[in-house]
Amino acid sequence: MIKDITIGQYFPGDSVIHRLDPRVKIVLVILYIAFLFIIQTAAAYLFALAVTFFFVILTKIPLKMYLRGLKPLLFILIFTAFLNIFYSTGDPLFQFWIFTVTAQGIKNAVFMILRIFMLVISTSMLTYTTSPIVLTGGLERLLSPLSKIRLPVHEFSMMMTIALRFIPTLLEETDKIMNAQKARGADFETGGLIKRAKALAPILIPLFISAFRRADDLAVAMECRCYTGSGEGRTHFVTYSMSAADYISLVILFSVIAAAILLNFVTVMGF
Amino acid sequence: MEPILKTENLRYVYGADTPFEKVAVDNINLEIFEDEFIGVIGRTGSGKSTLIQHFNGILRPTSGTVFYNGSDCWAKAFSRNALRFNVGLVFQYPEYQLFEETVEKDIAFGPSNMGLPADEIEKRISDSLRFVGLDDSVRKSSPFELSGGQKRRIAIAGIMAMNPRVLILDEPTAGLDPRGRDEILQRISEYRSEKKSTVIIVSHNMEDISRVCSKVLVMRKGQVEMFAPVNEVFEHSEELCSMGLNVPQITRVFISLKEKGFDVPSSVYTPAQACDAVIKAIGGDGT
Repeated sequence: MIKDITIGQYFPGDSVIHRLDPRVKIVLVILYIAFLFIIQTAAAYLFALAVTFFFVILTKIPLKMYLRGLKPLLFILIFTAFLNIFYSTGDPLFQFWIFTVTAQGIKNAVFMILRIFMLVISTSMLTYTTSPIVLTGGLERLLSPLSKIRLPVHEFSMMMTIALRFIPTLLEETDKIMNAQKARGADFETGGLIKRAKALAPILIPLFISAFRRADDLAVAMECRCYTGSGEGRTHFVTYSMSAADYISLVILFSVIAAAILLNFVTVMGF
Repeated sequence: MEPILKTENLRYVYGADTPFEKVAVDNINLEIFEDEFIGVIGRTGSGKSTLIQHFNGILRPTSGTVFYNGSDCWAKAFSRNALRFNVGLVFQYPEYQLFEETVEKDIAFGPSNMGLPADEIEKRISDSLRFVGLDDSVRKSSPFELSGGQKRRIAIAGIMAMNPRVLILDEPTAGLDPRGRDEILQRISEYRSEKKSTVIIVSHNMEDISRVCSKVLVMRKGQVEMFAPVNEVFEHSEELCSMGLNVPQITRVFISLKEKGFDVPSSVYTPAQACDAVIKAIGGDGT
């Protein structure tokens, strides 16, 4: 149940994508999202799909995993498709009751679904192939210029790291406490809203207590190892350097964007 | 006689269809009868905790069946909530599940979920506090003010208060000092002899199990390795050692003696047996 959540999960592996510099990966995903909003025509969309699947294959993670991440969005997908089909103005294809279906509507719906689809896949790709620690490390390095204007970049990334690190722990803990209370006959599944809200107390109270206890323990453990935040001269255990693959993937993505801009001028059968 | 708990080809897989898929228990066929006192032993990750969470319907088998009193626990008409009142499960470190403002309210959580009348709940609270060796003076205190050992006992009392026919405890002595450990085991034994209920204790400490249990279930890599009365299991004490399990100190001494060439059995696990074995080995007649 709780363990079935896959968004933001990391799938260890050793593909080209796994090995890319995290800074490059973050930049790539941001560029890719920009690219998804540039494309306008059917030809460009087909091209984008091809690029997406090319990267999916490179990660060596089964497509099934990506599709699983889409499941919770199914409702939003259907809803946007519905809005686009019935509320677009254009040449009517057919009409019934108060609804008018236009060619533009269908086109917008299909494009919108594809766009959300590729957005989810590309962001999942980032988290599936990059462990949370590496991800925040990369983010810290990318944002480090901001510390010149006194933004606490290091502290921010440490907070992110710790938060991400404790998500699975807290989920596991929640599961354990729920089971323990179920063993005492607690019932979380039936009853009205108020009854269900009340049924949460036996989970939330132990969960909060243990979260604070963990936070306290962690703070002491960090102080024992002389952690003082981003003091002068704090170095990093892992340093990143750009490899050939990193430069190549950046070049590929810039060419993809250039190609997409060109493809925006190519129309196939009026789309 | 109908076994109170029975499993047939029980198999459980964690994280099915993900890269983290792991078979936790497989091919488990067990029959547990009323009034037995069973110790479940095995190394970390051998599937002990997974197995016992099937007994009260917390986990649903990936395949295979669990029977309580002859009925399939996952049949449509079967009430798993009722099952949980009959098979009480005390989880590992149960003190972390306490949540109420007072000890008595926390112990009352189970019985009130059962829908018992107030006077009966009242009686159950006093009874279970007595079983875990605490007196009524702690009733009104907050469970969070108590010591670790006391918290653990309150949590165990919370399950005992449901008066289950089977009481299962997962590592009830983990993290306690030797005195706390002895005390808890002692209390559980007393509870069992008074209530005549079936008790299952999970532990990786052989000393604990050899002291109180009548039967031992040895788990290894998700499978049942042995399931026999304590003395029979200790006849295989060298095997237990090679499986990485800690046999009682006294047994280890006798295994070493045997290796050194003395004519002693390696199945010794109590001081009385040790005495007999030594007398026999040195050829005395016990006088």
